[in-house]
Amino acid sequence: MILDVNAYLGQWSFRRLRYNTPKGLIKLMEKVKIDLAVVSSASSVLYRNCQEGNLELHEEIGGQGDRLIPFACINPNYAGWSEDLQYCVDEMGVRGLRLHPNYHDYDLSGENATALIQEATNRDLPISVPVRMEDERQSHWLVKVPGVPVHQIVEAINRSPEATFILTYIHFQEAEQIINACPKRQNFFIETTSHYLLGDYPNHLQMLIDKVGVHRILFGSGMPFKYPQAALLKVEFLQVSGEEKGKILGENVAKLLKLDP
Amino acid sequence: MNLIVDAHAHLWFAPSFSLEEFLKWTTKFGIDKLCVSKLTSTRPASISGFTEANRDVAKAMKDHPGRIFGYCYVNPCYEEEALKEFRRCLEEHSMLGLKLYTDCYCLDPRVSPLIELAVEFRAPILIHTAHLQRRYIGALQPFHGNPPTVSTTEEIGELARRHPKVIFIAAHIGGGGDWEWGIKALKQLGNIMLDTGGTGVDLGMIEMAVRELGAEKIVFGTDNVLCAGFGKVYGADIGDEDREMILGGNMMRLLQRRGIP
Repeated sequence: MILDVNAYLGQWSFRRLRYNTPKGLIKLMEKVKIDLAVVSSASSVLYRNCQEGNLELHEEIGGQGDRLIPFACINPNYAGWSEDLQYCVDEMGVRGLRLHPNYHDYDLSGENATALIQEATNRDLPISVPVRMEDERQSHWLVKVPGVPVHQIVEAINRSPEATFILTYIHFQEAEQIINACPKRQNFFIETTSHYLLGDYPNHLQMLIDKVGVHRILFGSGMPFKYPQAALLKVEFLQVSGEEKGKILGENVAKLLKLDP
Repeated sequence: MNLIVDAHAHLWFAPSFSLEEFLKWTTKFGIDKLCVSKLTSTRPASISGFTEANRDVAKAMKDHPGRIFGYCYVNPCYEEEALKEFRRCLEEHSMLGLKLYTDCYCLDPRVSPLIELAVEFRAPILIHTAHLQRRYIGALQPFHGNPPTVSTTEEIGELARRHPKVIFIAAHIGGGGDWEWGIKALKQLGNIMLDTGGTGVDLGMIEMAVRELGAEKIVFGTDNVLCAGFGKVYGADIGDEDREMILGGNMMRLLQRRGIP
């Protein structure tokens, strides 16, 4: 079973996306043999009111949800976030959150975010933090958004030890810094979209596995922003057993999300 | 089975890089031939720096005949010494071509003698390329890290117009930047190729390059990032014939043009 923990539906303002509808994404998944995908709304990242993106996602995947696992995008600085979270859990059945502190202009370790992280933890929802949505070198001329600062992530991990963080599109150097700053914490997971996690030679992904163990690495590709084949190759060429690859490709995240085997 | 030729690879520095280990990885991925350069660890490169780097490339060629082909790397600001080194690499070591990095802006008149020599030997010139409009190079410098002397896609296009007898290769469309702009900036130029290298694997990148430039203008390159390199070419919705040309056929033509059997 292959489960991609970093996928999206919806629009991205800065370039055309393909395969960004439920039907399209499932077609792409079939092409590369990905069984399940965690999806959130890409539109939510740039909507002022990101809840509208969650509602779009809900409308779109209605009836096609057996392969797409919805995560809600919540902005803790925006009015009504707590009610939005309630709605997403009760009506949409979201299994986790995606937070974009860099696009939504808040500090992940600040007061509002800490309150949201606490709410999510109370509801047993893992929190996915895309460190970036696209390579900063291709920033739009009017919108330059740096990655989520490492120190904010470290602070959030330390401040909320009961929470579960999934750090997506994180470069090797950033992951290494966070691991070194939180060596005793087990409450964060590293995902594989970034190719600064080179995954070949030198094998940075292997180095991370050696540091934190296979159980802390989750497969994600960033589709449909990215060609999923690239992240799949990284796992294929890892020097770990087939059983361990299975954990990275899906079993670890299935356990986190308490999916039926 | 068609050959796979990596048009853009590098030798790096021990102890993190071992050529023999790197070759093992490239073999696992099925790469038959590698076109490599070695940069200096600090840049702009000194005369002794680029001479020593080229010596390492020449040794790698000698140790792996038919598998490794070298680009001579020089800093054009050294004028006569740079020209002498390029000639030595062509004549004594039968290197494939020239690699230009960010030491000197490509439209600088000091680059011209090197280009004239490349014409004489029918040698291609691979140029590190920032796929960014010149006016954003400064503003995005914290993200891309290139000095102001970097050359943009548009400028390499202009260089190709001025020197129609040389084949230029604009480096790594996945190397960060506005790849859509980069592809469009190379349209309608007969003597310029684009390599697919870099960490960027944005879905749609290769399809757009094929649509706008034609598959015959695109060469497979990894810039040593193998999973990203293969992931985007294998993942692209293009015809098998186009994929074969990109993976090796086009670069084989350039090797033959140079007179390398």
